[in-house]
Amino acid sequence: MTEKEESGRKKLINALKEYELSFEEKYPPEDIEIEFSEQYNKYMENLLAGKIPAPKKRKNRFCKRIAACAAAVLLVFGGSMTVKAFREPVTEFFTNVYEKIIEIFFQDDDITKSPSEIETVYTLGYVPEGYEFESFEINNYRTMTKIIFTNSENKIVFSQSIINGKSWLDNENTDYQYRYIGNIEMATIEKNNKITLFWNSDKYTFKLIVGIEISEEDLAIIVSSITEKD
Amino acid sequence: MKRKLCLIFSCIFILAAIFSATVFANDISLCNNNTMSNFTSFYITDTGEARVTYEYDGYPGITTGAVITIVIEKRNFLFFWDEVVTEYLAFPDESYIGTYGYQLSSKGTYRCTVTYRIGGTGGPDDVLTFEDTDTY
Repeated sequence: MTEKEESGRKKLINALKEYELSFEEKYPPEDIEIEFSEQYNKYMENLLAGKIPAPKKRKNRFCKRIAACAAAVLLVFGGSMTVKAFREPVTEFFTNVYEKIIEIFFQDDDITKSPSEIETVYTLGYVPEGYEFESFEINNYRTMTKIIFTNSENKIVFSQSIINGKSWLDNENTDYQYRYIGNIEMATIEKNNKITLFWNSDKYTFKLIVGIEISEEDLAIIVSSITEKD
Repeated sequence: MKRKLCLIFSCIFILAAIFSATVFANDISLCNNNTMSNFTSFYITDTGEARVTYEYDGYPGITTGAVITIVIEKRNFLFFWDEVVTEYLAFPDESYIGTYGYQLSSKGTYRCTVTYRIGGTGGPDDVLTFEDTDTY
């Protein structure tokens, strides 16, 4: 400690001592008298004599328990709503857009109105030159169909499914967007030289997967050519 | 005794809150290296058959196959579910469309969880989890 600091320390100690003395002189302890009210003295006498029962804390505890339960319930239901409440509405389907995937689903009312099985099977009425029909598949519950057309290098895959379900599209490094082809609004992604389009009617959902070599004009014709399968 | 009960119920509520938060955190932390799209559906028919439709489309030259796990559970009490059946399916295909059916023996609310583990050369396996409930 330097001399200057030592000097300052002594001054501070003296000042504190001086303050203490002056404080005690001003308010001598023996002069402080505490006077309790008669009501308080009576209450204390009764309390010491055991005439007043100990205060009941039961009611207070019960309220705390109710409050704790209410907080827990709010936490449970509030927590379950935070992510699910974030929805981006489009014309008829709803999407939850996450970092890696796009979840597509429908409202319960729309599901109730739609058929639980595919009643009318659709196919593509037009495919670009060079593509040929490869396969048609429908599952045994008639909830989904898949039709594939191929050329020497690429495939066109057209799927139809019931509305009562969830679809996911890749959203990792994809060019995800909404677009119109004709008057149909679609969710689309593009990745690894493939374009995926998703849209729906009142009864079914449709998914079309094509290569990026398909021109915009051809894509519009393919979508508008959808027709009932024989 | 009441205090202990209160503590136990509080713990259950808090654990349930943490569990639900974890489920949603999983939803948004999926990796997606090998899967282009997929479709899943679950419903119970009037005759009590639980029907599951599963489908996935991978990327050509990248996706090598998938393991799909289907779990059907019946609601017992509040947050508690009893397992009814579990089915493991494996497909060495770039894309696949399939169904699974199970005849339920009693009425109630059922939950179906379908987990896709889709592998390929695009990176670590994708893990996608579908969950839905229906009542019979």
